Order: sequence, then structure tokens, then C-alpha cells
Amino acid sequence: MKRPIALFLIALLLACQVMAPATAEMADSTVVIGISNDPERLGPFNSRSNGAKQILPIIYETLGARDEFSGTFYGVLMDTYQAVDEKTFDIKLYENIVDHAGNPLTASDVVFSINKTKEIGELAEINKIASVEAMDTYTVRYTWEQIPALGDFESVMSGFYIVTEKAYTDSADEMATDPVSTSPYRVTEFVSGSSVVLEAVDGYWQSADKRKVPTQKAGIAKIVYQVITESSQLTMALQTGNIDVTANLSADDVEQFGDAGPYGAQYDVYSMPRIQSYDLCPNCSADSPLANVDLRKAVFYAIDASTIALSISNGQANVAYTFGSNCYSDYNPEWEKNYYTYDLTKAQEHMQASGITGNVELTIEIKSSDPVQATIAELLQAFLGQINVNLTIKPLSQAEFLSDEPISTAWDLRILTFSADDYITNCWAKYFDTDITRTGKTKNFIQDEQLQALIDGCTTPENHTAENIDAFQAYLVEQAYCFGMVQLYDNVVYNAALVKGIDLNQNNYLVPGAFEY
Amino acid sequence: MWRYVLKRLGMMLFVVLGVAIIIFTIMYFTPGDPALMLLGSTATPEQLEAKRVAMGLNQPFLIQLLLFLRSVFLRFDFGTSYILKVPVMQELITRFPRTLILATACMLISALVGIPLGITAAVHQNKWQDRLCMVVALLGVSLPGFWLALMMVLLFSVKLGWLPSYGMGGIEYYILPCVANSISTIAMQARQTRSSMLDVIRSDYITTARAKGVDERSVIYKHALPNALIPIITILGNGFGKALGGTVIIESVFSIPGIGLYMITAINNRDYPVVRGCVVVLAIAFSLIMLVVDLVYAMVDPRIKAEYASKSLRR
Repeated sequence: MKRPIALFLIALLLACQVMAPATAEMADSTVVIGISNDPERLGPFNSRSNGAKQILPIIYETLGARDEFSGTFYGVLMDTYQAVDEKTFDIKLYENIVDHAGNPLTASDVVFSINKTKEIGELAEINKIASVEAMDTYTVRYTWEQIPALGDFESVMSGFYIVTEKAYTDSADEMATDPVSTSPYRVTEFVSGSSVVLEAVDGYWQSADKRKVPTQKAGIAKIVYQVITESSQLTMALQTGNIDVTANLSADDVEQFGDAGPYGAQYDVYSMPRIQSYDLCPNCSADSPLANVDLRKAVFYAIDASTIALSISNGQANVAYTFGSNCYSDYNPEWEKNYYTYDLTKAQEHMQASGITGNVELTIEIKSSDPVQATIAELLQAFLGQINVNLTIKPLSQAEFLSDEPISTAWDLRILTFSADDYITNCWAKYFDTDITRTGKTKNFIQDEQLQALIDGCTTPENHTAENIDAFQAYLVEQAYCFGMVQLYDNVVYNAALVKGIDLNQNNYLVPGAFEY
Repeated sequence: MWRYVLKRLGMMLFVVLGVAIIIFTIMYFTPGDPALMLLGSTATPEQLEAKRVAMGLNQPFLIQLLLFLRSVFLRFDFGTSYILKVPVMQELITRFPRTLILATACMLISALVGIPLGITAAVHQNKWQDRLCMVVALLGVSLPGFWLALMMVLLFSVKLGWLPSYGMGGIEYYILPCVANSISTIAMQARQTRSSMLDVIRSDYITTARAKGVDERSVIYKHALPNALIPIITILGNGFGKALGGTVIIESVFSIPGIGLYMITAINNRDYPVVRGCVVVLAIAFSLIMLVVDLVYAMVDPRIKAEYASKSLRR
């Protein structure tokens, strides 16, 4: 008698499970994400390590955000905005925003957050804002130092985190280890150098029916970020199923998880071109032989970028055709027809035109932490040897690499990885606009009024036209001020049994709360 | 004995002072600007200068050094991390026990395995047991720690699924790192034990003991081993100190947030307070270990204890 009753109860339980409506919003499980960089700290207003850049967008919210694919700008904490004049904008917040501690978020909190970021002084972009002022409970007035350039408004609105003043001042360590924010997830455990655990909060202020930004949701109950700095350990963690998702896998190991690989049945791979490109920047000051434009051209023509693309990152790379990648909406594929392609004859012609006889000694600086740069530098050594250029490779730590940049006698060539949030013109501006460098020279010591006029001519919303952008690119090529070499791919490997689709934010970082589970 | 301990502790203060001055000077003259590391290459010269002033980096070397020494020796405060914005002492208190567990386990494993291996090799000199033990020791010294660690992960985590491959948790998380970290010290310990035991075994009093009919077990463990212990303890102490400061590779491979990983990250970030704090704490720990080693000498060798006592009486 007991057995049929037990069977009946089991059947009833199973039926209840089948009939229970699945929660449309949240999967009741955990996703473990492997990251190769330690976030180090979780404070909202401080400089961000590579690990923190991956996690902080899940922990905090900004006033706005761009869509990863279309580039469309949305308000997140901000409901609407309007320009008062060329340098002043009024921003209206949603009125129902509360943080995890129950503090309502108002205009004064935005003023506090921006002023605190300025006071800490670790995020240089914040200085584009002259002042912020609370106009009423939910309206903030932003005044810019200068008329905002193209993309400045969107970058500032999506680049700085906003928290309530009460939560921040209540925190014992400036939220370095225990953040309180308005986001769909709250940090419940943080072990520096090891892991960050986030759990979905009850009663997130942005309900599903009113949500404007699709990524701002808690699609899964718990997210665990596991710091695994050793690359082969990251691969093994996927193989053993200890982590579900990673975007930091070595390109050499990705094949194992592809369709033809031994783990292809359990994992899916999503590949996307990386927004950063590897660029070669010559020192154009009088302290370097590369002040000679013909020598620069000889160097650029002697480099076979397609061989470099095949030799790095397991062949997962494209040739670049400007100072920047092809991911930007203002990139023009026509540039690919008129760029430095490997041509030894032209290289030798320019070498002769340069008037330099005998061997040329050049020093190239690379970051020792990036094995891709080391491979590229070794290939460059071989290419340039063909035109009697002896290249000395100088690997530097990140700190030394940064310190050496303004020293014109320290280097002749540098490999840079460069990108911007939005437009290729902003990528150019970061390096070549002397209004940004504020030294009167570009970062590779160029003093060229025409170059400055051309960059000024394409970085304002009115002047951001195809003709002006093409003009800058043409001048960059003509003067050989830099050489875009290659652009890599990023791969996201994810456990197909748990994750059905991935989502990324504007900076190509994973947004696990918005994944499809 | 207590006078000796107090004297050593007093000397330790000078050692730590010297270490503090050396590490401060080295970090001061190391290329790299902490303000630039924080602000990045997009910062303007004015922003960089303002940050340097805020961090106290614009002050002369001697002023910075004196402020640092005052803070460390009068308040036992290493300052706040430039990057983490957390007091260095707080982070050290969290991280040091993890490194200490690793180092202690490493020392215990190397003692428990290395000493018996060395004794076996010495007792069976030139026989197959000796050769086997020495081949094991040679392999242990020759295999790179990080490679061995990864091979162990491959076998025990990926293939067999017995042990976790990284991270922190229960005791099972420490098995692979501890074993991988102790292989080379086991080998050194075995070779040192064999060598010390061979020296002692050839002594006249061991021959006398054997002639008197003392059983071989007693000869080895009661007569020979205590007299061979001094160099063995020295190697153990040095190995412990080395393990404390040198677990960085193991911590990196197994993602254990200990003091080694903390220090390496800080060196790369030019996070001066963290580097100085870690080095000073490691210097204190190493000095204490060496003190304990000297005290253990006295415990195992009555001659050394008598020497301490006679020095005290002479005074």
C-alpha cells in the first residue's frame, strides 16, 4: 500500500514541477565566469584594472549606455536629457531609483558621484565636465569645459558610475570591497585575487515592463567571477566544468571548444573582432632617425602585415588599414585599397630617397606582459633586416612602458594597442590631437598644424563627415605617421547546456545577467 | 636562554630596519611612476602632477623615507594601497595565513618525506634503495615547480577529477599546491639528510654502539639521527623561509590569493606601500624562523644549550 502512495506523491511532485510557470526573468542557478585579471578593487570612482573593467559594469549603473551592436545611446538611470546651450545639458533621472540599501537616488547623488570622481582624480575623462549642479530632486545640469566633441556626451554619460552619497559615506573602504549600488546584482562575497560573487537583488528598481536597456536585468540568480590568472588553468577549468563561460581563453586553446574540437559538444564559441588594433608608432622627433618621412615609409613598406596576422593568435587576426580597427561605424573599407602593403622594392626606393646609407639602428618598445607584441616585434626584426634596419627589441613592464612614452630619446618605434568607445576619429584624437595630449605635440612627438587642423575637422558632430575623415586618413598615410598592423579576435567560450545566448556591453565585456539561459 | 632570545629579537629589529630602508630605496629608484599607472597615458601633465602631490611622491627622498620608517616602526602601519585603497596591513592579515599554510604544509611534507628518504639512502648506501631514493631526489630537484603543478592538475583534476584545480576552499584545495610546492624541498631534504647521516654513521661512537650489540634501529634513530639533525634543521628552516617568500608561482598557477601574488601584482602596478609592507613582513617572518631554528638547535644538541648557559654565566 505504501509503495503506490509513494509513487503517487512522486508523480504529483513531478507534475507540479512541470506545471509550475517558469520564471520568465530569472534562471534559478549559478553561472561561473572565468576571468584572467584580478579586479583588485570594486570602488566606483577609481581607476579600473582589466579585471575590474569586466565586473564593474555588472555591479554599478551609469546614467546611460550604448548598444553594443547598433551604437544607439540609451538612458539607464537617466530618463531624458536636453541641451540648454552648446556646453550645458539638463539630465532628468527616473524617479523610482533605489539602491540595494534602500536609499533613493536623486540629483544630489549624481552631483556627489561626479564630484567625488573628480576629487579622486584617477579617471582623466571626468575633467571634460566643468561642473554639475542639482536643479531639482531629479534634474542635474552638466556644464562642459568645452563644447563636447563627437561622442563626448555619450562617453561621459556611460563612463562614470553613480551611487548614492549615503551608501558611499556609510562604506568603510570607499566601496572597495563591499559595493552598494542600484544595479540588478549585489556583491555578496569578494575575495581579492580569487573571486567575486554577485546575487540578484529583490525588487530591482527597473521593472521588466519599463526596461529601456535590455542588458539591465538579472537573468540568473547568481554570478560567480573566478579569477584564474594562469592561462592553461583557465582552459582546464573549462574542461573540468568548473567554469561555464570565459572571454579570456588563449587563442591557441579555443579550437578545443569549437565544433570540431574534443569539447565541441559541450561548449559553443562566439568570435568577434577585437575593437583594439596593434599599431606601430614611429618617433617623429628629431631625436630619432624616423623623423625622416622616407625612412618611415621604407619601414612600413617592408612590413608584411598579412604574415603577422597569420603568425599570431593562432591565425585569428585581420590586417589593419589605419590607426584603429575596422569595428567603428565611421571606418571606410575603401582605405584598404590605398595602404602600405608589403613591397620590398618600394621600401628600398624610400630607403634610397631618405639619403641614409649603411645600417640604421632602431629601438622598438613593447609590453613584456603581452606575448603577441613579442611575436610581432620578432617578425618586425626579420622584415626590417631586409632593408638594413637593425631593430633592437626593448620589452618593458607596463609601468616602464608608460613612463617611457614622453621621452623622445628612449624609443624609435612602439607597438600600441589602441581603441576608442565609439568612433575611429576619437581613436585618432586620443593619440594625435594636441588639445588632448596638452603637450603641443602628438604622443609620437609630431608638431604639424595641418594634422591638427584635419583632426579638428573630423571630431565635432558637424564636421564628422566621410570627406573629412578620409582626408585625415589620407594625410596619415601620406606622412607615414603611424602604421595599423593587425586586429585580433576575441572569443567567448560558453557551456551550451547552461547558456543559450550571450550578451555584451558597449566595451565588448560580458553581461551575464542579460544572457539567455 | 631568555637573554639570548631577547638579544636576538633586538638584533632582528636592526635587520628589519635595514630591509625596510633597502626596499624603500630600491622601489624609489625603480623606473615607473605610480601616478601614471593610476591615471593612464591619457592623463595630462597637470593631472599627473596633482596626483603625485596627493600621493606624497613629490617630496624629497629622505623625507619620504623618514615618513615611511616612522609609520612602520612607531605605528606598525604600512600605509594604504595605491590601487586597492585598502590598508596594506588589513590585506596582509587576510592573505598572509594562506601563504603560511602553504609554506608550513610544504615544510611538513618535505620533512616527513625527505628525511626518511635520506635515512633510507644513507643506511643502504650504494644499494638499490640508495639509488632509487637519489633518483627520486634528482627528479624532484630537476623538475620545474610550475610544470609539475600543471601536470598534477592535468592528472588529478582533469583526468581523474579527484581534486580541485584552483581556488580556495577546504583542505582539498591545498593538496595539489602543497605537494607541487614541496617536491623540490623534499629532494633537497633527502640529499642533505643522506649526506649528514653518512658523516655520522662513519663516526667512532656509532661503530662502538654497534660493537656493543645495540640493535641497528636504535643505532640509526637514537644515536645517529640526533647528531645528524643540525644541518637537516638548517635546510628545513631555510626551506620554510624560501617557501614563504617563493610561493608566488604556485599561488599564480592555483589562483591562491596569498602574499606572493599580492606582492607581484603590486610590483607591476608600482604600488609602493604594498611592496614595502610585504617585504618587511616577510623579513620579520624569516628572522623569526631563523630564531626558532637556532632554538631548536639547542633543543636537539645539548652542547649548544650548554654553550648558551656558559655564556650567560660568564656575564
